[in-house]
Amino acid sequence: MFRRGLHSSAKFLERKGVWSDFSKRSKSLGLASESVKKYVFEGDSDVVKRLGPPSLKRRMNRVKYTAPEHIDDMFRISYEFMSKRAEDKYSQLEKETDIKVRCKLETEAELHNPEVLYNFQYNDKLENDTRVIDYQVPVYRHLGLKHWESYGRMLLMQRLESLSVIPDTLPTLQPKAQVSLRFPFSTGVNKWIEPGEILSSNTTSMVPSIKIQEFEHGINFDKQKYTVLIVNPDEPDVLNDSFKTTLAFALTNLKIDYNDNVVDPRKYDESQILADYVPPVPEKNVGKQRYSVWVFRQKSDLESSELIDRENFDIRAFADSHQLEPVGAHVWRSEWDSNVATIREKYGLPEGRVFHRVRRSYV
Amino acid sequence: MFTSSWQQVPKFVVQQVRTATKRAAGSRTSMKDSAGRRLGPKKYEGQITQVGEIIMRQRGTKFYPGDNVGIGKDHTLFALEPGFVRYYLDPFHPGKKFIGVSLYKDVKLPLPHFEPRLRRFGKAIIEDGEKAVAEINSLPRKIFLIKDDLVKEQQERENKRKERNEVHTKTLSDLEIELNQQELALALPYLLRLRTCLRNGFSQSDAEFNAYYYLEQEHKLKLRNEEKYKLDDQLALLKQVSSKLNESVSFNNKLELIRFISEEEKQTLKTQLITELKAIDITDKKSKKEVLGKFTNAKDFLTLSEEVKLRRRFLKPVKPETELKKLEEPLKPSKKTLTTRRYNYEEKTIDVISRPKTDFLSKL
Amino acid sequence: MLVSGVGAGRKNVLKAVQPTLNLVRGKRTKSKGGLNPQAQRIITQLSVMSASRKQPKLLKLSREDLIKHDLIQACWSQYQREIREKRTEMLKLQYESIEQAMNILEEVDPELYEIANAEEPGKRIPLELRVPTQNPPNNVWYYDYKKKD
Repeated sequence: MFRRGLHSSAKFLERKGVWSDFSKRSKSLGLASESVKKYVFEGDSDVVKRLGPPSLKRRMNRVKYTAPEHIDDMFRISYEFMSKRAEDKYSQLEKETDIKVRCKLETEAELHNPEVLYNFQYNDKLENDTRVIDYQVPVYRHLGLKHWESYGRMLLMQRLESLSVIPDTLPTLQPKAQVSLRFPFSTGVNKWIEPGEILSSNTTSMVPSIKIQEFEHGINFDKQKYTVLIVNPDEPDVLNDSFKTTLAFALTNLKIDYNDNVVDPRKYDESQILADYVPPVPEKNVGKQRYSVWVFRQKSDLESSELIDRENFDIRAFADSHQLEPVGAHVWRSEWDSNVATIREKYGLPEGRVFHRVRRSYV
Repeated sequence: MFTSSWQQVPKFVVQQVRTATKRAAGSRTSMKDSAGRRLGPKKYEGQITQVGEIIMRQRGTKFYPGDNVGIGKDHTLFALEPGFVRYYLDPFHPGKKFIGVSLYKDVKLPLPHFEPRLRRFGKAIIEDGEKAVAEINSLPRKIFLIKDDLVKEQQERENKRKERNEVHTKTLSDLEIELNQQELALALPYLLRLRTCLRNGFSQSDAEFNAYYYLEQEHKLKLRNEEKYKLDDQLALLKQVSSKLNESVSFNNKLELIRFISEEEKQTLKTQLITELKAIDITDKKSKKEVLGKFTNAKDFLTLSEEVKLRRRFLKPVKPETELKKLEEPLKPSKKTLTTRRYNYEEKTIDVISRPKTDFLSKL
Repeated sequence: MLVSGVGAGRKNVLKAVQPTLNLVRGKRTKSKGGLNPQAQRIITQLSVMSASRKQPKLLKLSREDLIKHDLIQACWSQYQREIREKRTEMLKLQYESIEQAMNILEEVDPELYEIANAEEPGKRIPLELRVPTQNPPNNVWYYDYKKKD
């Protein structure tokens, strides 16, 4: 009549360390789901064992699943060992005043916390829910940066180089902020654009919304402002038989922070628009045009009263004269399609020129 | 005799045959020299080339193709742009020689690495009006082939939108939301856009803003040449209509237009539904019908995932075996039972279970 | 009868003594390391299989168990790192104290320092200082052992 569960000798993990204390730490450093928490920390209790891992949705899969032997014993020892190390880091943190060192210590203290790793690994990192992944917390910034470096940043640099966006617009880029782009207003499609994608003129007919994700520690967002420029270095210059750069869109004095960082019309007003959005309307037979998005950190506020030559825009001179530091970029490509004429009419742009299909092959 | 034959046993028998190794004079080998392949530079430093002209014939890449130069399958270098031939070394690729074509006479290669590239556009404008129109109308082959389908699909979408607008108009009048003709003309595209955004996974607030911003921009562009007051009037009206709609209607999880339900109301309705469902035990056709009846309005106040979860919880296709286990001895197969066989993963045997038909939702 | 008998006997002897070379075209003549056919068959089957199938199956862990596994791995490497750091620290301290002692000796008594640092050519660990083992050595006693001077 004795049930095994009552007399089970399994010791549950007593979560006493720093990792279970949420009085000073952010709520996002803990697991939100009770069932997952129970499985991770009380994995060897009979009830939890019978239910199986909650991440497996089908009951049959849960029944079939067997956890590795003694994983919970090992986990308990490891958890105690590592949380003790984290405690040391937190005690060091109390004496520290330098913000960058503090962020580093905080990252090191939380980097192996299983709850943090679970939250980051299995949740959306781009459209983050701040209750789960809060980039205000240094460890999530660190993990975010590592995640971006592992693929997104390499992809961006490869596209910028193979499409010659660098050096055609700016000499080079050391990417610090992750820039993501989408066009929610034109078609209502909810999709982040991959760098270098060829987009239809209909998709790009209205302003994009740009997400600027900073990962660097210790940025003072009260003072730090951002400028966004979208330039097209492929506008044909018939007079010189070459190309010139035009300015498609320019925003300045933008304020963002670690979490609230999607730049769309709700984020800026008329005074922050240096140049209105002119949608890509490539002329016939011009080929693909690269629209490169550049995000800059400002040294100081930008005066938006001056006149900008949009048709012959020199992005290098502009960045130099205003002391703009490029931190992120993105690129998409546009080419002529049958919708271009409609968009030109809508925006009151002149009818486009028509070029020969074949290039001249003599001097 | 025995001993002698013993000695005669050979360890290994190796028989050698000597073949001729020296080829006779006058065979092919000594006549292998071929005619010269006319390799070497065809254009020299500073010479003018046109597109496609060969600059260098070579075996292997003695020279690499630099700016505006292409390479053939036999490593022949040829010009891709008209210009002036340059032989040069590039510090970014030490130990390699390059041949490039410079677009201008006074420009030496290699160009500075971090400067913008020098590019030639090379296309002329079609001045003749008729030819220009013909060129504009000519489509790439891929597009040309699917053009009819594209047009048809577009027409279908347009028709669908019209239908949806009619449904929306009817619902709006049913809900007694008073809109005059002008307001309705703004409300319908607003609702369409809102619905699209919600379907594409935007949050409610984002969808509302997207729809509003889209229409605002449309009007700004349409009325950019008119007097300013017209635009202001239109925008004010749009703002009024959109806020009115946001407060009076919403979309349910099937994306149908319904009366507005606030978050709190949704929450209370949800808890109410759950308590009602908990009270009913499905034992016969009537109770099943009753549970299904409770779900008829659920789409209005539950999200899709919530509804699916609740349906799974309260409309189980097969009842759990808790009741079955309480029985003293297993049921005997009869007309009122159903027998199933299934694999028992824990025991690694096959279980044969007879259960009353009432345990199965579809058999009720 | 006798002749034929002798002939048959010679044939048998030849069979036993002379290495026979079976010169059948296309047939393998070299033996394959003397394995029995069953073992040989297993080897052949394994060699046909691709490398990925020979590896042990990848552990399929649920999300939660993967996180546990990651923590255990991190903990183990941290533990090893701490041991390693402790050991290098100890060796460093030992070396420093040796150096310090020698420096003091050099100041106090240069003569002793010279003797302590003198080169000793041909000095090996004495044979008597055998590392203790569980079993006796193969060569139990060196009967003609002479100590080198």
